[in-house]
Amino acid sequence: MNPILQLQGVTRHFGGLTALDNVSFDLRPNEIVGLIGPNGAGKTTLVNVVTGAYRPNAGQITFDGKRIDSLKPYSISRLGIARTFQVVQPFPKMTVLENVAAGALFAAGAKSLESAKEHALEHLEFVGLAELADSPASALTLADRRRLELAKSLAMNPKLLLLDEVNAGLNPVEINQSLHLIRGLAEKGISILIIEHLMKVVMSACYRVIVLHHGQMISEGSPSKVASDPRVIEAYLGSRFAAQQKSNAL
Amino acid sequence: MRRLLLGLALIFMLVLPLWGNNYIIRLTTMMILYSVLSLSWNFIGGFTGYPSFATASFFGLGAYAGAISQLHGVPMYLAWIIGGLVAAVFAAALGLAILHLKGHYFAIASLVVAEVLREIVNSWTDLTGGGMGLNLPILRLDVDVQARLFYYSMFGLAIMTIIAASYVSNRRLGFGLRCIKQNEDAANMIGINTTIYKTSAFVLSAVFVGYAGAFYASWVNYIEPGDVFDILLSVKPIVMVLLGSAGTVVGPVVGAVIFLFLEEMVWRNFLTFHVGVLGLLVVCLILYLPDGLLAVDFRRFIHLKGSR
Amino acid sequence: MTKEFFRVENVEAGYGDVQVLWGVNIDAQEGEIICIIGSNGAGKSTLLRCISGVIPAQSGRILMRGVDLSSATPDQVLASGIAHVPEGRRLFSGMSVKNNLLMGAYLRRDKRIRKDLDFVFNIFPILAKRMEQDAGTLSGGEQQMCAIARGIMSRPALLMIDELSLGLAPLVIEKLTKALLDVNRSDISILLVEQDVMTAFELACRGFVLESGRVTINGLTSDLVNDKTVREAYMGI
Repeated sequence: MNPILQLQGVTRHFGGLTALDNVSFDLRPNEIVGLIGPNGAGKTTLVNVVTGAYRPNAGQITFDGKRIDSLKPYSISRLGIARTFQVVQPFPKMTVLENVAAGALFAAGAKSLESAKEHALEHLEFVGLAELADSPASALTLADRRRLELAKSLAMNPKLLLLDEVNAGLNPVEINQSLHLIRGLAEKGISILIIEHLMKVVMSACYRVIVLHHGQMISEGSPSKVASDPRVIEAYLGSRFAAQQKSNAL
Repeated sequence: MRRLLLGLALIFMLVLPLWGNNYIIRLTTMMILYSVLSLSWNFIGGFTGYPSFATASFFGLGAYAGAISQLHGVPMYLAWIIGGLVAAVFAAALGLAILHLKGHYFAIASLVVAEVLREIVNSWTDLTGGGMGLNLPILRLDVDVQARLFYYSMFGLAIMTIIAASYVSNRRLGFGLRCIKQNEDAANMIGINTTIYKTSAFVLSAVFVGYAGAFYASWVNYIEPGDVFDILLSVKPIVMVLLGSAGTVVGPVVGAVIFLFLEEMVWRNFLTFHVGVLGLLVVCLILYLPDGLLAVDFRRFIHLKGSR
Repeated sequence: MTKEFFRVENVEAGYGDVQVLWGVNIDAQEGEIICIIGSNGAGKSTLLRCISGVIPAQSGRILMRGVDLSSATPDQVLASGIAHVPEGRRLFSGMSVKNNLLMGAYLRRDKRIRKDLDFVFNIFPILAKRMEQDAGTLSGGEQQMCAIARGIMSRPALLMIDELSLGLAPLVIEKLTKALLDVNRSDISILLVEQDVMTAFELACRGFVLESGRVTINGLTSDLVNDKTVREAYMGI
């Protein structure tokens, strides 16, 4: 099966700092892939490069068979890639419904504002925010704002969804709800790349995991394989986590 | 309720020339002209959130384009259209140059343009008459008829501008501009081609202003650089829009009317200090009416009075 | 009987018309680490802001060594020995790490500041390495360390930390946990507000569950970890 997203030798510098160093991997359709690594490893830069916010200094990015590494962000959105932001980025003075309708209108190409709003309501129902449709986006709690980001991305009709730490600040119950939603998305046929620090999410939701460290890919594979990789334990997971994993497995 | 008020205002404006004297007509024509300027600024400043000081540039360009055309034999109405078109093309080009700047940087860049244009016009004496200005042929019409002619022409322009504003506000373009104003990064990510949207808003903020500039030239029959590139032509519309509520369709007009009314009634008496009064007004505006007059809930005051 | 150390008594607080805290009761003994867990919107951050004087307590008392701080200003609260490490770190970016730390000691006039600087550099060696660097350029984990160190620099008796583990890698959380135990050993009591219940229970000996502005469950963390309600509602088990 052809990969939906392909990175080949992607490199990105910022001045003297190499944020991404020769990163290559494939994402297959309908996969949920986790992207982990210490802060500053390049995870958000990777998402920024894929979505067109930055251009790679070297390498190629192919999406659905098309080269996208020189396209502008709005074109890439229209091709079917959506992302959430680590620090949630709503349109604060608009209602929840309008926020989601924006995604349907501009990226998914809805015919009119009315039909965009109809689609928006469907997406809000999926994430469980339908009751708050007419509230201003700035009035939501953190967990609801995350759901709004998700609904907005869904309204863009993406084939690929890039989730940047959607679960930070949520308590375990809210995280379970979030996981449920994410699995629901994969079932709908959306491929997902999820940046996460919460290993619980990574271990339970991801089919594969990619590990970045200082901009380089240091490990790749199934969650359990990556979690027991000594390089990953040293750079990111810590021995306490490794010990917990071992005792869980027994 | 609002529709009724607007309808009444419209009818009032239409019949004004029938009973008003030439002074009132002239004053009202000026008021309508400033409404066009503020409605235009609203496209780029109110909807899109980019604080443009380029209004004077567009006005001056339109004035000179129109005047020069007329002096070369072009009929008056056509000259006005040329004024609008020249300003629009200029805005498109300028937009590509400066719309990627944010906030204060954009403001300053747009401010400088008027000064540069004024200098160019000043120096290019062959074409523009330089510092001595341009004299335009006076229409061979009765003074009263002229006053009314110009009045209705400017009124027509204002109606066109309002229609454009309303159209933009209720459609995709307006929605996209509002997204850009509230969060440009998110707007990019959501599939909005922000370059095209911003440039469109900028061009819209220029075309009617350019037409108004050419109109002004024909109306007063003499223009000079300091006059039509005056920075107050950029500043006053902004204050008017802020007074009336940015980002709404009718707000700029409300703001323009009230501002000019205040100016005529109050500041005529403060000849030496009148720009200072303007400054005071701006400060009061920011402190007490940050969202403009239309955002104030007047019903609350009526309720309070009724409950006694 | 030893003097009571820290107590929050029936505190009510909110933002304008919206009441968030409906009578919160919390206490800490000297030398303890206690934790507060709960859902988003339960009022955890509001409680910390109320204690540190950023928002006023509408009723109730906040007692630090017997002194009521419920109407104290933030600098008065700091002077009485309570330091607040806020959610999201809130460092002074543009200033060096060292200056951020010294800002923590702003109210102090004594000669022990140098010694305390050495103390925090001992606990967080990476900060010593990055002493002159702009605090805004530190990684997330380093920023959290800097924020905690800044809190320590005011020589608090009680250090309140809001969301220790937010957005941090497991390895970093492990390091911070060890560091906080060192901090506690040097006679600084800790009040930890935390979403990661496992980390919270590992560090704290007593815990309080905040739900809709009230404390609904409290007790030893060794008991709480086995409590059915806690497990279902907050640990997702």
